[in-house]
Amino acid sequence: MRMRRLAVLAAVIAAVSACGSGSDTGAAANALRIMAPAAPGGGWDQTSRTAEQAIKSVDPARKVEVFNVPGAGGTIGLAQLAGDKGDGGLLMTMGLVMVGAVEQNKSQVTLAEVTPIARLTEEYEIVVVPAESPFQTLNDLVAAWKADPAKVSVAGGSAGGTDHIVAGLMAKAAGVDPKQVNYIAHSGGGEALNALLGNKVSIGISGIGEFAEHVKSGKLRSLGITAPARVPGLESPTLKEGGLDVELANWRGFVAPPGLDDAARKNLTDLVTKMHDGQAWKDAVAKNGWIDSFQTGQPFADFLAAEQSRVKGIIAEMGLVS
Amino acid sequence: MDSLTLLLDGFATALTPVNLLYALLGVTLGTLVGVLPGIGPAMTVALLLPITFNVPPASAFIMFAGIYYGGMYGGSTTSILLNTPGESSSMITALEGNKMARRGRAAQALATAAIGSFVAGTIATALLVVAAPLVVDFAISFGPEDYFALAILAFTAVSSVLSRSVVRGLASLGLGLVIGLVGIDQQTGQARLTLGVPQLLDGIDVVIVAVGLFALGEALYVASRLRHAPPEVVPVGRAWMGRPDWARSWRPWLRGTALGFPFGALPGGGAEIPTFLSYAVEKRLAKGPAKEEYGKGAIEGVAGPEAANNASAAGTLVPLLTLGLPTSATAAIMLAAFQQYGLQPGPQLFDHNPALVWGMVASLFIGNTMLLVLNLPLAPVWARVLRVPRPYLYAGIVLFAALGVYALNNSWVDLVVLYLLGLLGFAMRRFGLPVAPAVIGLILGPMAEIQLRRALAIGAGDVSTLVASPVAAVLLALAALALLTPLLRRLFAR
Amino acid sequence: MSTPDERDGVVTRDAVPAWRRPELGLALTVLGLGVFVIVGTAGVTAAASTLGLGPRFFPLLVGSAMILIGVCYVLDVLRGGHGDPEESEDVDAAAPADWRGVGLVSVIFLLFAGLLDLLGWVVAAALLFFGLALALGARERLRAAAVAVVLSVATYLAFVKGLGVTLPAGLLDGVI
Repeated sequence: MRMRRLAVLAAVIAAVSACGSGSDTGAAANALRIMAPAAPGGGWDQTSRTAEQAIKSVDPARKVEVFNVPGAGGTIGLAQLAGDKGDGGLLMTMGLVMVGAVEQNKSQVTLAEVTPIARLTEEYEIVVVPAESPFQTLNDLVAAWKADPAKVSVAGGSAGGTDHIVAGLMAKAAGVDPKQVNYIAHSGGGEALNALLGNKVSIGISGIGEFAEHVKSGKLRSLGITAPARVPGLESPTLKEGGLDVELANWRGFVAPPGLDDAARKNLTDLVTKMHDGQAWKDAVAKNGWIDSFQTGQPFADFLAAEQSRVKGIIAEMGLVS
Repeated sequence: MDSLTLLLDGFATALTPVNLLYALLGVTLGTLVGVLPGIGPAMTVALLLPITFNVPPASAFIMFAGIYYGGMYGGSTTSILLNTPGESSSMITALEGNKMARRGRAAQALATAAIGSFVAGTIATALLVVAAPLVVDFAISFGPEDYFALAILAFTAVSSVLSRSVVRGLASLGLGLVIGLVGIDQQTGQARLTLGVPQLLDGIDVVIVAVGLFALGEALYVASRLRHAPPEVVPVGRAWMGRPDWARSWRPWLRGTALGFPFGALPGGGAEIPTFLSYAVEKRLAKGPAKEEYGKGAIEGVAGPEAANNASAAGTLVPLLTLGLPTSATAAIMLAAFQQYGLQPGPQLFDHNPALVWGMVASLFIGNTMLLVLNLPLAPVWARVLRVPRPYLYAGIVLFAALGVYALNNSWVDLVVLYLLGLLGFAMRRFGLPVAPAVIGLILGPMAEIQLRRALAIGAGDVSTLVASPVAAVLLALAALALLTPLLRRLFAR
Repeated sequence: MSTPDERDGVVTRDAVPAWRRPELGLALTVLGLGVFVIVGTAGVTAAASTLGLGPRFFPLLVGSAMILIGVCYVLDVLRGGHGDPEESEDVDAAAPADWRGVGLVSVIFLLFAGLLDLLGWVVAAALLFFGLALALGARERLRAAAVAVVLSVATYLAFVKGLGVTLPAGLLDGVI
């Protein structure tokens, strides 16, 4: 008897709501949803919310909404995106970290399935040592590494993340077995920074932004950055100058669901291009210290494919996937 | 002297009407989100970040600080009244606080929590002004082996006081440890015990476990043996703390502060361990009738952990402001907020932006006072929540639990996990397994594992690194002492 | 693990015999979890980080401890030991277990979990509250329904519109 009442109530509410939602279909065609496949506060979330504001500023009529689907390095969001086949009003923020996470978590859905839209920004990585460290240059590090990889503890972010990949690439370039790297994973740059400032680990790897201030103040010393050339405002050689052929940018971009037709794809690309050309985005890029690396269309699709095969290779060589 | 003038300038910044309004907004929002499990201060600040883009930085940080402190208050209110900890740091408060509330002493429990938080927050903020650089130096020298020793100490201290039946206490602890194992191993990125469910790769959030064991478990338990006789009305009791309450509260407040502040400043210390330790200390120190009251609603068990919880929040700001080193989730988001304004916390911050830093510090004092003024008169009002008819009360608890847990990841999988944990909590209640050790095992287990493995990896596998640092050696010795004291006492008693 | 006890013949004076077997179930669960942890992590590879302890060491430790504790727990229960069910103001400790109540709460909650994305927060949460209140013994249905709707709408407005938390709009998409 109770249950019947409940059912009646449900039916009434459902009927009311059905009437309501019917009237709203007109506005939805113009709406854009941006998925941040991470919890609020992280880099992808920040990029998504910045983009939301920037799109609103160049296209005030458009309804833009950011939502979070956190978990497993973004692969949960990726799986959800793949389920929304053909949805031309949906973008997902992603980046290099997701490429690694797909491999490592053996995700059912890979990035080969989604529709690439644009690369937005990138940040280079920096390799530092504590001020008290005996390593003055990259050569000192390489020598010690070759002598005994176990004695060189490397602090960085999560296992299989960008920092770990840099460590693997560096070891490979230095002629050290990437499997032998004594990598100490930390839950973010802050924790790794603490280990470095306390002189508990030999070297640290993170985004330039995380360590730059402490390099300037002299508490940390930079051995090299993963950029192709020196970065203005930071006194540091590149890894290439130091003799390790490692170049890597931690990039972020947008992808869309699989199965988009050309018109829908062009539509999204045009919108993102318009956003990129607007003043609000330029201001945000400057404010956050990002590097603009805008790229769309086939070049970005090729870039994404190349990154996938590179990351897949090094993750296997580091023994991170069985 | 120099700091003092700067602090006074800071008060001048913080006391402008606009900034007072932001502080009020912050503490109100903070209290609101603190009430909900899952939606904590960290998430709130993160969500507000883009909206505050056009607010002047000083005002924004005054608001964020209010959210941070307000969250602590809100979390304890639901812990005490509804046995639903809003934040992991107020789980311990639920142990004695909810028992007090059910005995008609809700107003006293809320009051001792509010005043304790105020006392701790104020003292700790003063320490932040005076001792920041010293604390930072100490915090940085903490290595993985020290953290490992710390986890072991917290383990032994807590598990030796928590359970009456040893095997049941250990069983509960073990359940927590097993839950803590689920997910990606941080050091190697390998998945463990995830049963192929991708949503489990990040592990089971502490909040889900706490809410499942405490709130949903309770609701199921109540459903299983509903009182069919007309329920006794919980007396609201006296509205204010009596003399004995004060007498029993002030020492735990101070001890809680002393524990909370340094732990907050430690990266990886967090707010949970000091609340565990404070509870353990207070229970150990309790004498006479107070000792008998543990497990039935001892006011010391609320006063101490609540003070520790708030003091650790202030402690967190020490490494954040002086080094740019975030030691909690909320601090990490605040760091992002600083960077959004183009500011890099660190030694230079105090020189380049004194108005901002000292305005924020001053606003901590103000926000703390505001919270006390807002919450104290409300304590008897809040206590009336307990007079809500039981069916509504429990239905409401489950509704808020579901809201908070769903908002964590927007995933129904979490709701199913919540239900399973609720069943576990139900079984534990029914068969007399204490819930607290499980939660402690869940929080400390992963920390102990990670720090142990880090210490060994840095030391290239040498086991002696674990006792190489004096801090670690002392902590481990204390842990051994905590284990042996009951045995020794029993020996002497004979 | 929660089958009602049929061995009514075994009666001890101090304990309610019907609990014996279910408590044994919990004890066996503890034991079983220990085995599960060890078996479940047996396949985890430790290829990376050859130094220190691999990802299997700690689970092995926890699993073995759980088995040990589980055995002790089972023995304790078999020897007649039993935990005291938690006392609570709202619970009638002497009452026999009401499995219908537990079942009803379980069904309502799981239905809520399954239908939330489809129905949206407002509808699903209102039904959850309404159902639970009735299952837990509320008598006045209209009042329960009114409270349910007010609560679910209020929480939606406060957290979605006020704070920007994401909750599914479901059926009411566009209305609220």
